[in-house]
Parts: sequence; structure tokens; C-alpha cells
Amino acid sequence: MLVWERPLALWLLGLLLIVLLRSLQRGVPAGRLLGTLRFWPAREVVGDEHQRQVPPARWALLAAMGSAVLGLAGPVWQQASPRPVWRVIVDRSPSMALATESGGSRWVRALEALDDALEGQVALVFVAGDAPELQHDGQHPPDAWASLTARSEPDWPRFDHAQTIWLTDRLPTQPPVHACVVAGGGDAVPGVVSRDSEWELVSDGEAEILRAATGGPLGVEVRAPGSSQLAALARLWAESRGHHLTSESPALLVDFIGAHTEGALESQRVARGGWSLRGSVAPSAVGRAWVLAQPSGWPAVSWQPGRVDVFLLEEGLPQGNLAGLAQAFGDLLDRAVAPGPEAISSAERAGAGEGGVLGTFDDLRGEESSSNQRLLKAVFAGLAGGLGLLALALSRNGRL
Amino acid sequence: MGAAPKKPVLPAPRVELPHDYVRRLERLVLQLAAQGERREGLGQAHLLGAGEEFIGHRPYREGEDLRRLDWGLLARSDQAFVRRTRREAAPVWSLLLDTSASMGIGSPGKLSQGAQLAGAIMAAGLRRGVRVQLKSGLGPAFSLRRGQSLGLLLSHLESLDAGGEGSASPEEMLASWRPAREVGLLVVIGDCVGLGLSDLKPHQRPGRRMVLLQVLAPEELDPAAQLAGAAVHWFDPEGAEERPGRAPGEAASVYERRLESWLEGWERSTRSRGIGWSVGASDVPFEERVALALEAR
Repeated sequence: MLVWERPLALWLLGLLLIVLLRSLQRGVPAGRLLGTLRFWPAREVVGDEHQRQVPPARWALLAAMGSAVLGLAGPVWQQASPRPVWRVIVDRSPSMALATESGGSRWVRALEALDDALEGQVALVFVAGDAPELQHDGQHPPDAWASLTARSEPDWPRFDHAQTIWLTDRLPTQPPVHACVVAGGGDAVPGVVSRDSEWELVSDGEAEILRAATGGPLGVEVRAPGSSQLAALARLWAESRGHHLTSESPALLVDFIGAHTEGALESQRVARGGWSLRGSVAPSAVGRAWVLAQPSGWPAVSWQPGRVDVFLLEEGLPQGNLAGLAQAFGDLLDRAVAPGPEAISSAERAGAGEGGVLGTFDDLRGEESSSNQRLLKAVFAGLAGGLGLLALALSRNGRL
Repeated sequence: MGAAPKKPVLPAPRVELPHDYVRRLERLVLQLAAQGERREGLGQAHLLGAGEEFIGHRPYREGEDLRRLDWGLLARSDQAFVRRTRREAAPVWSLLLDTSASMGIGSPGKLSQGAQLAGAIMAAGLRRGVRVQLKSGLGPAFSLRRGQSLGLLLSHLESLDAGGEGSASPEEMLASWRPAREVGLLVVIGDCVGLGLSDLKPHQRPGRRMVLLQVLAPEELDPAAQLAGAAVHWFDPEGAEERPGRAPGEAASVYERRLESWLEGWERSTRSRGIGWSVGASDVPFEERVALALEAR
């Protein structure tokens, strides 16, 4: 499809049209009356003397000027071939969902920066940086990706490829080699950084202060069907931390599910830091392993924010350093308890600067398109020059 | 069925007399009278009627100048008669002015030029005491006698309309009208495009002088000079016939040759028949042509 870089220049064709019309008007013979018409020879005697009303030289000159105008307007031939596909790696960490003081969120600012940079020239595939298997075709990622969750930032170096864009809020300290970066920026966002049932750490944008918790005690649910030393430890831990036991939206769920799972292996040993436990262990792959059972190598306890899963059905009492067991299990629960969606780390709340773009998007339109532009302009320029010379050759004594 | 040819719009269908026409007319008439008196002195008065050649008698009419009474005949016959001279034998000048559509072209228009010529000749005739009549169509002729206002003549001339209602070409007028015997001068004025010598012959008679004054538009006489190379479409003012042309050009050369041949034919044929003839463009001062028309051969 032929498009014009400077379409306003095409108005000059109107001037040429006026010149042409005036030439044609001048070429129309005037009607005159002649009483002695019978002496004037008929057309077949002398031939039609009005066959060429507009001199060929003038036609050639007008065509030359028309070609020059078309060349001036900047013709560009846009290929109808499919647009190139770029992968956009989306940062879904909590900082992207933070509201900014100027309105909107860093997520919205980043998308606007992406639109400005690409101008719709390419097709996009959005990839969730924290979960690369999550992809979406379109000009924008799904809104659900912008929800405030405890997702981590993408492992950026893993996505340093050509035709790849990192979409985030903060320009990376280590720029990519091949990929481009579109960062929306954003000011620091004050708020709760961390909390438990008694205290909360609050950032004001510059410093952090510790103050009494304003949201009340956190809820903890210990879901254990039978007697378990570890379940007892979990309840003791919750009491010591001031949490209350509840099953409604708990900040931490400690779930003893090992006994309910088929395929459990018996006589497994779990040992760490001078203590040990024996029991059967069910197979599982949930969360991050905290301690493994031997000899199966299956995780006996795993965790993720807000949740601790115990796959061990204890047989007998713990052996060895029991204080060490309580200390280690308490540390695990401290780490796993989710302080609530409003508690976002100070690193996430820190200002993301003005944002910006790294890398070049020149090849969005492709090299072929650029060469087409030059070729088309050269064709029109050559045509104008050739027709101008033709007009000169056809003119008589320099007159058109 | 084809559409009727569209009638062309004529550029100069009406008579436009110059603002100084009357003054120029009076001066011309005086000049012609002086020339006439000189010719009479030399015995050349057959046309202008200023001589005293006796040709007969007629009864005296009450109120006439008694000096013209033939006192000898009165004494012999006891009846009042006046002597008739040559002046009274040829007392009428008739003029035919072409008012066909082809006279409505030119700058100035051919009809205007023809009207100026007719007016000048008629004024000269009135000055000499003859009765003048102007026929410009198929209807009755316009007549004037000495003593009647010249303004009547000018008003009549200015009422003429080339190609208008009642207009006619000379050949049409000559075919339907026979001049009285006493018409001593018959002047035909027009472009005479459709006129032939055969149209004039039936009206020749002893003692009557015939003059043909051809008026052509400047572009008809010399299209190359008038149009300066511009392309034109020529139209026939009488109809819708059209011919392309460029002047100068091949067609213009052919036209000039044909026109010249046609005019030479008129000159030869009128000379051989004793008919006065001249041709001129419509922008030539009328004084030059009037004098030529009234000169005796």
C-alpha cells in the first residue's frame, strides 16, 4: 500500500491542475462568425488544425512537475506482509500494581510507554515474567496480570533476546544486550512494608518506622486431623506471636496433609540441625521444600508465602535437639506467614524514577521498507528530471 | 429527426452610427455638392439632375414657382404647363441595404457601415433635390424628399436589425421588387455573399446607373492579420455550419485565394456591365466610398 510521509505536499497537485485547466481552456478555439464561410475549406480539405490544443512540451512539463510533487510528498510502500512479532516480558511484581500520586498505577504508565514506543507497528505476545508459560497475544496484557500479588520480578537475564521487550517500572541497573526495555517509572509509594500481629514496619518513601500494628492480630489456621508434635508446635508458635487461630482468611495455613495421600512411604527419616523425626511421607511437589525425607528424598515439609504443607505422618516422638526443632519450625512459620496484601516490601515501594526506553526500535518497520522509500523517491525524482528534459526538447525556442 | 440548427448570436446586429456622423455627413454633402456644380459646368450633369436639358411638359401644379411656367405655351394654348428638365426626369435614387444575418458581424459591424454609406448617399441625394428611398427588407421602402428632416433617416437607419424580423438579402429584395422607371440610381449595399450578376441584370435600363458597394468585415478580408494565429471555429451566421481553422494556416491560405478570386470576378463582371463596384472593410471611413460610388464613369 502506498502511503505518504508528507501528504500536505499533495495539495500542490491542485495548482498543477489549475494550470492544466487554464491551458486546456486557452486551447479551446474561439467561435467566430464568417459571412464568407463558403470560402473557408472544409476539414477534410486541410485536415483538423485543432488536434493539439495543448503543446506536448507543456504536457511534459506538467508531468515533470507532478512527478516532483509526488516525490516531495514522500511516497512509502508499506508491505502487506505480516507484522513482525515481538515478545514482551511483563513484570508482575507488586510494585507494578502500586498506585502513583499522579493517578493510575505503574502498570498503566508502563503500558502507555509501550504504546508510545511501538506505535502499533508490531504484533505483540505478552509473557508473564514470573511464569513464562503464561502468554497472551494482543496489544495489551490481561488486566488480571496487574493484580497486587506477591509475585517475584522476572529473571531478566533469562529474557535477553532480540525482538524482546522488558516491560517494567524501573530501568534495570544492568541493561540488556539484545532486548529492549520499556519502563513506566513512578514515584515512591508510602505504606506498610511488613507486619505481624503486634508491630508493623511502615515506609514513608524515605525511611521506615516501626509502629504498633493497626490491623489487629493475624489469623493462623492449623489444619491437623490427629495428634502431631509439629501441629502442637505450630499452635504454640501462633500463641507466642499473638496470632489468633482461625479458619477465615488466615495469614498462614499450616496443613498436615501427608496422612491423606495415597502412595505414602513408611519408615522415612527426617533430620535437620540435630533433631530427627520418623514416619511415613506422601509424595508431593507443592511449594519450596524445607526438609527432605530419607531415603525417598521427597519433601517432608514445604512452604510458600501464606502456607506450610506437612507431608509427614509422624511415628513416635522427635529425637535429638528438640529445642532446635522448635526454633527451626518457628522460623519457618515466621517466614511463611503472609503479612497481608497491603504489606509490600520497601524495595517494591521505592521510587522507580522517570522510567524510559532502552534499546532501539528502528527495525520495527524493517530494512526493506527503508530501501523502498529511497527507491520510490529516486523513481519520482528521475521521472521529474526526464520529463523536464523532454519538455525542453519539445519546446520551440524555449517557448511552451 | 435532427435538432434544428442553433441560430448564432451575432456580435453586431444593430446599427451604431458614430457620434460625429451628422457633422461628417454635412461636410461630405457640401463637398459633393461643390464637386457636382463643377461637373455641371463641364456638361456632366446627367446623373445629378442639375442641368436644364428640356425633355417635355407637364401640367402646372398650384403653388409651383411661376418662373418655371412655360409662358409661350400658355400664350399659345391657354393652358398652364411647366417645362420638364433632366433633373425631374431622374428624380429618384433607390438604395438596397443588405440586412441579412451575415451583416451582423465585424467590428465595426457590416450593417453599421452599410447604414452609414446609405445615409450619406441619401443625404447627398436630398441635397440635390432628388427623392431617395431605402429598401432594407421585403416590406415597403423608406422614402424621403427634400425638405424632410434628416433625423427621420437617422432614426430609420438605427432601427435596422441584421437577421431580424423583416430583414432580407439583396438578392431576395431584387427578386421581389422592381424599381420604378424614374429611378436613376440604384445602389446595392451589402456583403453580397449570395448575390450574383444575374440578380442585377434585370434591373439595368438606359439612363439608370447601378452601383454595388460590397462591405466585408476585417476578419473576412484578412483573417490571418485579424486573428494573429489564434485557433478559431468559424460559424456561418446564416446557419449552424462550422469549420475549424487557425489563422494563419493552411486553411487561411486557401481562403484568401478563394476570396481574392471571387472579388476579382465581381470587378470584371461589373466593369463589363457598366456597373459601379467597390469593396471595402467595415472599418473604412464611409466618406471614401461614398465619393467613389457617386462619381460618373
